[in-house]
Amino acid sequence: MPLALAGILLGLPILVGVGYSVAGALGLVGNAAPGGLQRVLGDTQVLRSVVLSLWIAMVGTAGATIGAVLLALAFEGSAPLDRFARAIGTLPLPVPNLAAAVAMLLLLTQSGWLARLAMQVRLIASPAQFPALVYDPNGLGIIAAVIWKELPFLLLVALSLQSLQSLQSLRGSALTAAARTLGATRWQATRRITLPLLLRGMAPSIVAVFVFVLGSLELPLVLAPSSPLPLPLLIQERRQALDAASHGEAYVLALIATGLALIAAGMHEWLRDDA
Amino acid sequence: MTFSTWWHDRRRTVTLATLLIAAPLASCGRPAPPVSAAALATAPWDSVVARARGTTVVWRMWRGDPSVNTFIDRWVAPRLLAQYGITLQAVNGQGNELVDQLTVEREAGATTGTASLLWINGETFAALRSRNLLAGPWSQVLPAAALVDSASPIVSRDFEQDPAGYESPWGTVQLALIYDAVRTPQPPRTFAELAAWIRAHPGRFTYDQGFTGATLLKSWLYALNGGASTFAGGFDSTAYLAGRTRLFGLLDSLRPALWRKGTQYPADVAAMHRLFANGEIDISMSVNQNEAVTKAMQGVIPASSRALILRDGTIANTHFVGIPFNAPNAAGAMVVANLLLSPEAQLEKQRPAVWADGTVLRLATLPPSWRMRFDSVLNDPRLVPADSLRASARPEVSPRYHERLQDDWRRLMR
Amino acid sequence: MPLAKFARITLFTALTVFVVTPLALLVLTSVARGWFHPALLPASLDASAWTDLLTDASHRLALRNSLVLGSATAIVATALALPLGRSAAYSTRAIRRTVALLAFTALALPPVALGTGLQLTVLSLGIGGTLGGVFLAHLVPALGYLTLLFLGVFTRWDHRLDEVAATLGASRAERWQRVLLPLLRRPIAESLALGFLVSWAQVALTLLVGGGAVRTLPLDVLAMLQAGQDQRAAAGALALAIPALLVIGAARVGARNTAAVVA
Repeated sequence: MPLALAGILLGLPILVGVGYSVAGALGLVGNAAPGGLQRVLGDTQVLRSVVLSLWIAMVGTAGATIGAVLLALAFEGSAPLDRFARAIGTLPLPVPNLAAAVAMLLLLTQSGWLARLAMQVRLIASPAQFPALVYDPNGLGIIAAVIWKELPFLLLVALSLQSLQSLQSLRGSALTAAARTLGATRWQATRRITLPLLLRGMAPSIVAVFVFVLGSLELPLVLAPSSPLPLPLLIQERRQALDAASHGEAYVLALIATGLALIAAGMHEWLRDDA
Repeated sequence: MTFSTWWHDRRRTVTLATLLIAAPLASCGRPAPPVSAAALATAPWDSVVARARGTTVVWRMWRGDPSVNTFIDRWVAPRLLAQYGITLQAVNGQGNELVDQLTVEREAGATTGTASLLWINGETFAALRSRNLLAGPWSQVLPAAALVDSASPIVSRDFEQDPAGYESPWGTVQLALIYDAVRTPQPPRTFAELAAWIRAHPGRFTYDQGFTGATLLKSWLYALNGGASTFAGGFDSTAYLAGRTRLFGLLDSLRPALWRKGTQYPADVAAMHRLFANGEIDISMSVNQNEAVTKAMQGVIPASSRALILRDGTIANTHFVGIPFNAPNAAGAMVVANLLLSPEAQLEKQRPAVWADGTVLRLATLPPSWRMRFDSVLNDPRLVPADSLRASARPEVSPRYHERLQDDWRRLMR
Repeated sequence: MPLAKFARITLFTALTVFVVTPLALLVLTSVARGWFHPALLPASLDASAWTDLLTDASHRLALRNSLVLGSATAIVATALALPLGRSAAYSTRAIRRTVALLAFTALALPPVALGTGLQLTVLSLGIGGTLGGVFLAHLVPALGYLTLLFLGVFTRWDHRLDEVAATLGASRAERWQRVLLPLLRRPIAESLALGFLVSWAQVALTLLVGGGAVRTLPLDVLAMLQAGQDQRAAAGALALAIPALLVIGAARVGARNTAAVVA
């Protein structure tokens, strides 16, 4: 019964969306020509796009995770400093991706606010001397925006995991207390018990962040380099061309992006601890 | 009662209700297709105007420029309502979105669409025509069509294609470089000087990946290969490849002297203006020669920005409006197209404070009072002088050149 | 000062600077006219971007569309995800995992990929470029997020309260009204907020499925950015961010007023 409901509400749109992409890739519908698959697989630009998108998602997610874990562990308590830190750390959570992208654009370009600050304190003498953080082949500006946007989310997850753990004993998990009794230092207890438990609990959310960043259009739209072009932008570019061949390629690329997301979905489900 | 039986009961009721409501609706026949523009073109103009009165026209157009939007929303729309009783709805849509939607609508047999008027030119016109998605011919019967400068190769051809009555012109622009008079008192005046300037000022020049950059590359293509005439008369693969080799060879040699050493290019002209305004590059550009003025007024670029038309000539092109095959209100669309061609509208949009978009009218045929008014606007010192524009205007050639150049640039140069 | 305390204060300061600087820059840019490099502070301030945003007819239309889409998505997705999550949670493990997988796929699919396919769908159905078509597209990721949310809620649900109420003779309606809904107030508030945000922040789906014809606030911000109007884009970005912050804040406040604690 719920399966039927889920099938209609969730499965149907996914199937329809993906199905039409398949049809488009085969040249059956829309304004597309078949044969896109061969062209796409033989195109090195596509490979570089996929690699860049994966790189940005990996580094961005890793950065957000490290930051979130650090903050969760450092500001675990109930002192005012801890509460303020937790509040500020989770502040950017609801800010839409596009707004974050605009802010990073104004901040990080070679003539952006940080560069102007550097010029004021005589660290650099011209925009060209400021490191290229936006429109750069490593996607640094996008990664910065990803960390800004996703660290709050992962922090929230880490905090709720911690409060779950601390409910099981007075302060900290019982395991940590036991370890301390046996002579482990605070750092050792953290490293060998708290950290793995925390990361294990955060794992599905980390995968969720990864796949979300991988498919996001807003950040690359504002901050991305032209070469290599992140995958969502490549898909957009091919779609907007007027010739049928490019359209066909766009559908193939969309299916590739979908495939990556499905792999991540499988991983997410495999990692999920369910009751 | 469990949740599932509760749900089943509800589902039964909902299904029944839907069937009862849907049945009578389904039995209604499809409404008759609206009158086509071609049919209206044979009727007297007064009947077209009468038919359009009290109707709504949905115009799908580029809404990316606030000055254009203001002109349409605050000047054109009120006049349409007051003079013709037509309500204008300007909706976003260009290029591939239009082609996609109309293609699917044609495949689905939708004889009535949503949009009655489209802002198109060049590639889009070619795509729509080749798929029979445009209505027509109709533009030749507009009363204001007599005022159009059909002798001009810029206005009478759309990327070398003959509008043949399937689209009506409404404005024209020409590619110009933009420089800052304070920073660059001696800007380059020809393409050769530009290349030398780039080498002398490494990292201070680039071009964008969009329509503006492509227009610059095409203009450069002409300049390096004996002018636009080399590429006139349809797409010639040999001429294209020879021309492309020369152009890409030059661009490759210039690459280390470009912004970011030519490894990155701005996505669109706004990103380029941003680099220019913030001093990362010293030269920007626009397909509208007067954007140096309008963007400065909007605060996007510094007030000391000036436009520069390269002496070798740069590309000038015209923008048009077309009527889709399944337009619900072709009569209204024709009236709008006619208003856009009126001397009042052409003069208004030429004003620097409004849009500074060129006119498609032959000024010599206008009454002296109109000629005077146009002259006073065109002689505004902030705009590029009209005669220098005319002398350096180069026409567009077959849209295939544009497509191939963009494709090849993305494959080979990006 | 001990090292640990010094480290914490440094971390706190760094965090605050990191979080606040981009937002402060947006605020400053939104009121700065002609603010170019190398000026660290704007030379002149004006509120024209804000007045324009709030008075211009097309911006108001975009704002209205965003609000309508957001509210509709929040309400409809919540109404659909709640029963779905509940019935899935009470089923076998295999069904739970399948539903979770489907829900995650719905939210994980890159909007560009999903939108490309859905665009053809809505065009073929004749609702391409309409608000309704865009609403249906927004529903897909929203349903994904909210189904996972309610699946989690009902998986950890304490059935005993409901069972006790039934044993004590409460009718179905009474159980819903007096036991279930008050306990569900917090998840429902969160669900409405999340559903709203998913739609509010959407760019790719609106762009692709709406064909450019349906204007929402994020699309307007994008357009302003692509027209080089940074001052207006910054104001628009803040107009995007502030309601989002308010909605989450309201959800958190609403969540605090729960009548009972779910263990």
